[in-house]
Parts: sequence; structure tokens; C-alpha cells
Amino acid sequence: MTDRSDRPKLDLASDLGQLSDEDLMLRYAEGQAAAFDVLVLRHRRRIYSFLLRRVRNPDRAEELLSDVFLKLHRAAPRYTPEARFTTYLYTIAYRASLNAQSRQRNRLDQGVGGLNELDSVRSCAPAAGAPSPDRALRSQRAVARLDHELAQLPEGQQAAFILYYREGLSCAEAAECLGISPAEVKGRLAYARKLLRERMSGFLDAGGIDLS
Amino acid sequence: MELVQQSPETGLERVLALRPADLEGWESAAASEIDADLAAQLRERDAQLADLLREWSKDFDAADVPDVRGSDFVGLPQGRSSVEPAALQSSARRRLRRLRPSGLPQALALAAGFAILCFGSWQVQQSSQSTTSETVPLPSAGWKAVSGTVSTRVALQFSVERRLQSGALVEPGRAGSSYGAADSLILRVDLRGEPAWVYLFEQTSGGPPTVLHPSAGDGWRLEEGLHALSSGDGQPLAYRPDQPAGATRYLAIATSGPVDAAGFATQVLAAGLDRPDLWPRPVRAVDSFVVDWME
Repeated sequence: MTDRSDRPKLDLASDLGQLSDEDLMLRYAEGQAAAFDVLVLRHRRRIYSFLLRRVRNPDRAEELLSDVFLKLHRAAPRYTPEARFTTYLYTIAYRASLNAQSRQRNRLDQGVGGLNELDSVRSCAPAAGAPSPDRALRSQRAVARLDHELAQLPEGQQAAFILYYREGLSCAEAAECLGISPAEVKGRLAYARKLLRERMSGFLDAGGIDLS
Repeated sequence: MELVQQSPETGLERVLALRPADLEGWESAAASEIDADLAAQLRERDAQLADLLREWSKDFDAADVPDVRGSDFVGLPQGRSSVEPAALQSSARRRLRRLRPSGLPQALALAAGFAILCFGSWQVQQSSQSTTSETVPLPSAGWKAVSGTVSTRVALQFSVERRLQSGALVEPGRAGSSYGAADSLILRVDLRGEPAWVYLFEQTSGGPPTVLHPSAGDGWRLEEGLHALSSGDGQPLAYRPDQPAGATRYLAIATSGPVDAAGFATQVLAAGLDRPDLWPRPVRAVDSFVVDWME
């Protein structure tokens, strides 16, 4: 990891794009505002995507996206590059999504919940094994069905699954985000994948899926 | 120590689920011990799932990603959680009572929650009645930045701090939007080119422009870069009018030297924001946006 003292001395905003995430964060902690702009631009897409998969509501994901970067901004003075920056950022995002899910559950308990927007795909997902005349449409339905099945996974499995398969984190990095051991992440991934194969059997048994 | 059954089935499930870099030796070895036909069957089905997963993982289009920017957060307090401890709120509230203009409803400050800290060193100053008497009609929407005649450009930016039941939320500001009693603006100035003196104004519909910042003294001299509006002790300032109602224009004027701010704002507005040739010297650049305050 980079130490404050041996970082390259670049001052122009255009050069910031060449710096690592960790260097940008340290620069921001030192007061270089443009460094935070680069960080946000670099990561907002993947963090929004992660949050959207987690909370399954675009408006809530957008709120959380602001919240994540606000937390990152606030953490800047005490930031030390001990782990990969992306792991650090996903940890913030994961906790934010966990809190949001908890609040959502409370609202649902009080009867104030709204439609889970990504779950609306459920209406177009056929029952497992149902015949479909069009392979492309069947593929779309299969993906929608997969997304729906993922949403049914226990929270811990779902989070590990998204971090590993969608966000591309390693087992060790996902473990750090989730606050569990890498072995536990492996177990969750293997179990979730096995479960999904079973729950998607209707699609998978029907001679494969054309995703071209 | 990993407490899992190191069976061939477990090994194969791990091999199917994990990337090679995440596999340990026992997992690969155990997988090789499973019945070849069963393994082939599982691999085939898993390959189809893998195809589905790749499709599911495709990224969003750029248009789908909210336009959050780093500058939205510049100037906000650091090192604190979004919901401030009660002790900090009390401290900030005392500071607020001391510094905010008289007549500001107490409920506004209390509703702001986290925003209270930003209100801390409230420095809104009403303009002198003797300096301005003209009124300038307000357009219904915000203006885009207008470049000056020399190598100085100024952009007046803002974020909105909203107090929700779930905590404080900071959003990028959008000119022309409506904001309510729990919202406050965090203003920033992006100055490009030559260093300049910058003055910020507020103008409600039908009223004269009044000075928002600086409240007194020789002006706010800025070097090139992004600057958050903050008090002398570094506390960021969040702003909302003391009698929120209707369209309100926020205006930044950059000059090459200190000026009688209120008078210059009136002259610039009278000349037109898109007529730099008519602006009084030493005005170099202006920028403005309008928001709608709801009671």
C-alpha cells in the first residue's frame, strides 16, 4: 500500500485520473477537493449498481449512493490505505444497504412498504419448465427469474453472491466487506450456487438458454 | 480451521462456484474424486447457470447512474456520522441562535438535524435599504453560467441537505427545483482563471438583491479552484431564507477588486446576465441559479 510520503507529486487536476484510488483518498484527506471528484466519478456506477441489486429500488439506491459517498467524505481524515480502496468502499456500501433493508423491513412491519420494483420481473417470469415459443424471450425471462431467485436468498448469501459474481471481489475481499471469514464466503457461494441451479432447473433442463 | 466436510461433492461445488485463484488445494483434489458422469452432468448444468450469471451481471447504461459528483460533498463536515450526537447538536444550536438573523423560526434550525452544524456560523446579512431600490423580475427557471469578458469564469454550485426521518441526506442541487422547510443549500463557488473577489447574493421575487456572503469587510478573495462557503472558523455554511416562499435567485459575481457589492448586483441584474459588455467594471464573471422555496 502507498504511504503518504512516497506518493507521486502531481498537482494538476488532469493528472489525478492517473492516481490510484488510495492515493486519491489521501489527497482528498489533505484537502485536494478535485481528488474526490475523480473517486466519485470512478466508482459511482459500480456502487450504484451494487446498491440497486441490494435494495432493488432505484430511488432508494440513489439516496444510498449519496449516503455512501457522504460517509466516504466524512471518513477521509482518518483514512489509512490498509486494504484495497474498493473493498473499503464496498464495506461502506454494504453496511448502508443493510441499514436500508432493516429500515425497509421496519416499514413493512408497519404496513408502509411499497412495491419492490425489481421484483416486478416476477410477473413476467414463467413457472419453472413452462414452454416458451421464443428463445430470446425465454432468455430474458431466465435472467429475470434468476434475479428474482437471487432476491429470495438469505441476506448473507445474497450479499456474498453479488460481491463475488457481479462486483468481482475475491473471497478474501468479500469476507472483509461482510465481516466474516473467507471460508464462510466460500460456503455461502457454493450453497447459493447449488440452490440457484436447483431453483432454475426448469430453465436449465429445457435444453439450454440462448443468450446470444 | 475450516469446518466443512471435505467430501468430493463439496469439493466439486467449490470448484464450480469459485474462481481458480480462490480455490485451495483440497477443494480441487476432492473434486477430482467424484464420479465422472455425475461431475460432467453437474458441470454442464452449472455452465448454463454461469451463462445466465454473465448476462445478469451486465452493467447499467451510463444514463442509469445518478449524477452524483464529488463536489456535492465538498465543504460538508468530516469525521462525523450522519446523525449527530445530541451534545454536538446542542452546541451547534447555541451557535445558531447567536449568529442567525433575527426572525428565523427556531423550528427551521431544529428540523435541520445534522444540518444544524452547517448552519453553525450563519452569516446572512440583509442588504442596506439605501443601496438598492430597483427590482428585477425573476425568470421561472435557472440560468446557466455566463462567462465574463476576461479570463475569469465563475460557477455557482450547490448541494441540498435534506432532513428525512431516516437521517440527513445530501443531494446534488438542481436549479429550478422546489425545496421545503427541511432543506438547506450548501453553496460552492468554482472559480477558473484569474484570482477574483467573489460576492454572493440572494434575490426573492420582486425584491432587491441582498448580500449573502461576505457579510462584511473587503470581500471574499479566491484563488482558482472550488471553494465551499464557510465561516471564519472553517465551519461550512448551509443556507435557507428566513421567510421561505417562492422563486429565489442565487447569484455569484466575480470582480477584479473589492466593490460595493449590493450596488453592483443591482447593476449586473439590470444590465442582464448575458450582457457582459454592459456590466460595470470591475465585474468579470457572473453565475446564477433559481430555486423555488416552499413554506
